[in-house]
Amino acid sequence: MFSSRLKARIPSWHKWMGLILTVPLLAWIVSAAGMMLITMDLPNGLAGVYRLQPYNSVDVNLGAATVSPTALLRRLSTEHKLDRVHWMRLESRGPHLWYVVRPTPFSLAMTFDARTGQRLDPLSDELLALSASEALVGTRFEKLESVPGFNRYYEIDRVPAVAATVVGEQPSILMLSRDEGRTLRRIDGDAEGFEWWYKKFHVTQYTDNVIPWTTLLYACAAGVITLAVMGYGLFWWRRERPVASVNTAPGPFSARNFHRKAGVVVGGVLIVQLIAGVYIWLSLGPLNDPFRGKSSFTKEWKAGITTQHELAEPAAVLAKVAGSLPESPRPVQAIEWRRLGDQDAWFITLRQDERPIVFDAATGARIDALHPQLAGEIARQEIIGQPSFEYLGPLHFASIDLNRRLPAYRFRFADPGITDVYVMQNTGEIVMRRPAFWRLFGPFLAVHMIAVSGNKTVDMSLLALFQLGFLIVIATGWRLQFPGKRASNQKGARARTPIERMVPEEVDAGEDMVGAQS
Amino acid sequence: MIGHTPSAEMQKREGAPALAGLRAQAIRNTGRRVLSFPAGDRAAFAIGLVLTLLLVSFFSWRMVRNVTRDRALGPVPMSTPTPPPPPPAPGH
Repeated sequence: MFSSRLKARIPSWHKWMGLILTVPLLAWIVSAAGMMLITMDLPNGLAGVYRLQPYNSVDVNLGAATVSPTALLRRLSTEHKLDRVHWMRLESRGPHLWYVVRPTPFSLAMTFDARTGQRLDPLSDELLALSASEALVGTRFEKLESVPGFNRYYEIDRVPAVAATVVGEQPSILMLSRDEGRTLRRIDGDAEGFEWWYKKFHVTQYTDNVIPWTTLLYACAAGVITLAVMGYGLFWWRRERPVASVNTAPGPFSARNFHRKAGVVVGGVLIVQLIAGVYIWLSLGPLNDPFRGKSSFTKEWKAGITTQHELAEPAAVLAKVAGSLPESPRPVQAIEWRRLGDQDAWFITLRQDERPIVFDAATGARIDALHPQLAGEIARQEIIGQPSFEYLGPLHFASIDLNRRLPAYRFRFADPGITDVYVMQNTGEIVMRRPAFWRLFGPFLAVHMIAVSGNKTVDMSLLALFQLGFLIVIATGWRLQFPGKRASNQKGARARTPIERMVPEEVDAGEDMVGAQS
Repeated sequence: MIGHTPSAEMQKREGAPALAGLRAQAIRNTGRRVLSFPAGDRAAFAIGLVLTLLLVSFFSWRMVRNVTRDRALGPVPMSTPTPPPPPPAPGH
């Protein structure tokens, strides 16, 4: 199967590849340990725990908007050629009062000053700084950096966004969208540390250009797998040969002995882990869009509010729902106009850290939860091909916007990706799409992390043991290459003995690392 | 030195290489390769093989369980009542 010539070359390849691939291997081992330690005690994972600002810092009466929602709709029709919008929201932000309009469920929003009608998006740095200061309790804005990024809710490949650093009681980085200042992600110290280890050392992504860095990553992974396979080859081909020489007297604690034994113990596990890791990065990197369910976005969305529709004035909305709202020390924070099926609805936000209260616009009746059929139909409008769906039941699901779990429905759609869609019970808003592709992820991650028992301590200990094994293989490999002055002298003195010379080359083809260098 | 027959002392001193040479000679004579891993190597290889197979088996089991559970999820009646109030999120 292998020619003598090839066998003779493999030791040298194994040696040099091992030395070179020490760099990524060490990076993977150390970063895995770093990420493992960071996530050990996080109560809410990398999503973190935050106290959101319940109220805008300035009390602004939403009824003070001089631009009416209907007038804005007409303008969207005439100036922006929109025939419908997904929703429109009037909200206060600091001293400002503005309308945010989402033309489709997947598009960037448009922001307009509610007093002058001036278009504000993309938001200036000043407005984003203001948004950052209004986001978390006890924090103030410090600095801002433009960082366009991937987001599962938008069709656009990279959402224009900024990383706003806030300091104070909850120091963190807020990823704010340029279109409306929406908080796309919150990154605290732990999440930042995790991302640093993950991006720089575990998946080697140094810029936002995924393909070249993925090529490098996969080349390293392929190299390490090849290295391990060659190691097994050498182990097998040398089975008739006793260990090294007598002069170097390799005992049970010699580098060679450790390298060989530790190598065959952990090599197979390393190969399996790497194959799982390759799949995982395929999901989180090059195929992130379909993995996050973006393939289920419809191109023919025809729901929402038509731009010829009449919407109730903010003051009229507030007057109509006033009697049904709980007591609040501060003014209403936001009004959102939406269509839920064939009925108009108003979402009234009393506190920014809680979900809005939903009202039927026609009757003024409060809607605590949509019927699952209606919620599913609303979601169906946003799924490619408007396929049939099955209702899988109610549950609580994490809302990134509000950093808490909220009542939701789960549906399974018959789209090409067989996507599970999680819909908020009271608003009909899709909060998550999980295609079948996503749902296969768990076993790969479990194998990659050797999370076999379900017990965090046991699993982390197992992973640590294997990492120790990898480190022993690396360290002993280097020791074999650089055995030190004393060992080098001994080997130099030990020229090939007569009996060794009599041994045919094919038998001795598996020259080891020490042999190859001496 | 080529062709020189090693003395008993040399064989003792060279030890292992001498043994290798004899094995090579045996292979030449019989035309068969001889499996002769040291016991420690055999044990290490066996442990590695078992660990790898366990990990692969674990993956297969998790994947089968995952797919089975996913497919087993069937529709529930639309009249299912809404769940009780959500559990408090950590830290809230």
